[in-house]
Amino acid sequence: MRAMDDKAGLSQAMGSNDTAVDKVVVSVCAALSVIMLLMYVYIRSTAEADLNEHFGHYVLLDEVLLLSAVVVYCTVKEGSPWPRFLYIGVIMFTALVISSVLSLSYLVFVIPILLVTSYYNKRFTLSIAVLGAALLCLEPFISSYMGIEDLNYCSLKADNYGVIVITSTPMEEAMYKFVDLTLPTLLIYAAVTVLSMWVTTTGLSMMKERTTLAESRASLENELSIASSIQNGMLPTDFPRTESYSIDAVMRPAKDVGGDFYDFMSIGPSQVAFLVADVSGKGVPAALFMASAMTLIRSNLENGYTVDTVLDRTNAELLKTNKEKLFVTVWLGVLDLSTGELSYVNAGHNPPFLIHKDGAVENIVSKPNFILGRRKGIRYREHRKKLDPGDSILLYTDGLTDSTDAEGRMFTQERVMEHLSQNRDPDTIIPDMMGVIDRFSSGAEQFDDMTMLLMHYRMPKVIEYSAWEEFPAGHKGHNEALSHIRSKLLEGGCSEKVVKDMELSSSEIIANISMHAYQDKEDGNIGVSADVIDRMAVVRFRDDGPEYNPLERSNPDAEKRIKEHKIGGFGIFIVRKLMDDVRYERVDDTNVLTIMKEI
Amino acid sequence: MQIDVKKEGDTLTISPKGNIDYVTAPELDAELSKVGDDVMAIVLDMSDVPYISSAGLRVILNADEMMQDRKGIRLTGVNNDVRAILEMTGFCDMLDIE
Repeated sequence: MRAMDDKAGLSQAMGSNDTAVDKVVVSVCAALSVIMLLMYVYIRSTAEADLNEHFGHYVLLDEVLLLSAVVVYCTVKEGSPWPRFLYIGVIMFTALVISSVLSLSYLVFVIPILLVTSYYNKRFTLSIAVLGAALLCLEPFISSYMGIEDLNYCSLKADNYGVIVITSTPMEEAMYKFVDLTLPTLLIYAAVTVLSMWVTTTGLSMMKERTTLAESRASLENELSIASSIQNGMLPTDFPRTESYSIDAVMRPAKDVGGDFYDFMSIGPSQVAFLVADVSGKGVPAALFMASAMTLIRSNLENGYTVDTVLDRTNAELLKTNKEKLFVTVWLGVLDLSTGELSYVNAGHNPPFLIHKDGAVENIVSKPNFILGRRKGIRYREHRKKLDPGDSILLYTDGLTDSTDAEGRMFTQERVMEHLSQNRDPDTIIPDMMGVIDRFSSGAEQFDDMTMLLMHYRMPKVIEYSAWEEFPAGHKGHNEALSHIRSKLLEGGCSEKVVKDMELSSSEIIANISMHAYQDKEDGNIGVSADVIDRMAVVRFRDDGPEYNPLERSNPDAEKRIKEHKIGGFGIFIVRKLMDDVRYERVDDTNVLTIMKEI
Repeated sequence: MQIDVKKEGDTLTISPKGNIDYVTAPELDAELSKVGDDVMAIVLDMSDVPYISSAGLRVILNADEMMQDRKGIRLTGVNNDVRAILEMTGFCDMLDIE
């Protein structure tokens, strides 16, 4: 496949070269036709009768040939190969005519050779060279019989009246001329031919090299553009700006595309996850690795895992398919908006900056865990920190601190901190920092992606769930619970469609709880609360059975499950499909399951 | 749950009315397990079933297996909500749905 592409590329390049040379060759034909016309006029106007006799038609024939070459060029399709032989042949013939008419003009034979060399076709050059040599040998005979008498090669004798007459026959003249002039010229001609063969060969290989070079550059550029569209296309840009928090982020790719990324997502009504990551390597492999790392982290967060488990699982998954031996460093945090509690985990990433409300800037230093994707069985450690309302966290990749100026000096962490202490307006921190970096590195090409994400914690989010309503487990409380949920959600402004989906999901969960928490005995209670919070329908279920997280069951492969009669997981499967978010928590010896759907 | 049953020849038409969920599914299951050996085909008329939960799916699956050696079970009058659940769970490929 690859070799075929190369061949196609070369023949394309050769084709465009040929077309360009055709143009030059035909221009020469046109120019020669003008010269031949002038020559014809000159011949006609001179008094030498025998010259008129023979050469008039001879020159006229060549004129016709030259003009027809031009006509052929204008009529045939551009790039067709056969007229080339005609053009060069006609020029060759013209050379013969000129050198026959004007003796001592052997040099014109070099013109077709020079022209044909530019086609970079060895066989063509050689055949034209041989043809030229043959015509060159013919020339003394033609000129002796038909051309101007060259007195240098005639035997002269004064006759009885003192008039000098030519005594030699044309054949004698021709032979004399051939030995005296043509043979040495042939030697020079041979040298020119050898040179032009050399030019043809080197030209051809140069052409090949240039094509390969152009192709590899094109494929590299193509690869980089694929990589950068993967990278850019995945990053979320709908930055949240709510009463309780805001997020701003930027990723500026370097020239040859690394694999930086940022991500953020809300988890349930009161938590927000945010992260910045840096993939080793460049190009498409790094971009694909970035895509899978980002997707894995996302889906593990969605499945309700805590930050440390999210990275444990992502690491294990990445290890399964990492032949390129890439890795990724990640800083992942989850902020509880109602309490300001930040839980985070650091997989070999730069420690972020915490910008306090009062302007103090500190580095959130924790002993980082190992990078993701290279070692089996790493247990990532969760750290905690309390944020106060008004605090911000700036996550970044080393593209920021390692930005270089024209002299190669780095921007450094200290300088970042200095700028952060001067401006702590969450709306302008990132644009300002970009401006500072641009001024710092003006003119210097940057070799690493640069990524920043700012999470600003504005104020605690007050989430007021309605009080728990208790319903008997099992069939007894099922319908009552559902109608309670229905009326609360309708009251909150949910559409019939949303209410239906919430009802169906609730039915599944009540069945699930009755079975797992109370073994279908009807003596347990299920606590239910239903609310509409921030345009989300939120229904919570509480039971005091043994700890059981239904979300840890894998999604069923429908057909397999049906065949294997393992239909038990279907309930939760349906719930997950219908809901936007499902979360499990163990709170004070109770299981709390929350289902959410945007209304 | 009201379940109408009508027999024509060897075909039994069962028309449950209401949601088939955790609570009502056992009733439908009881009705289906009463089906005698003389019944060769079952038509489950779903036109009055607003939605079905996984408990209902389980009942239908059991009935489908029971009828496997006979002419099988066919679902008619399936509304969009129910169809969505059947599609979501892969039941559409396993069952004869009109």
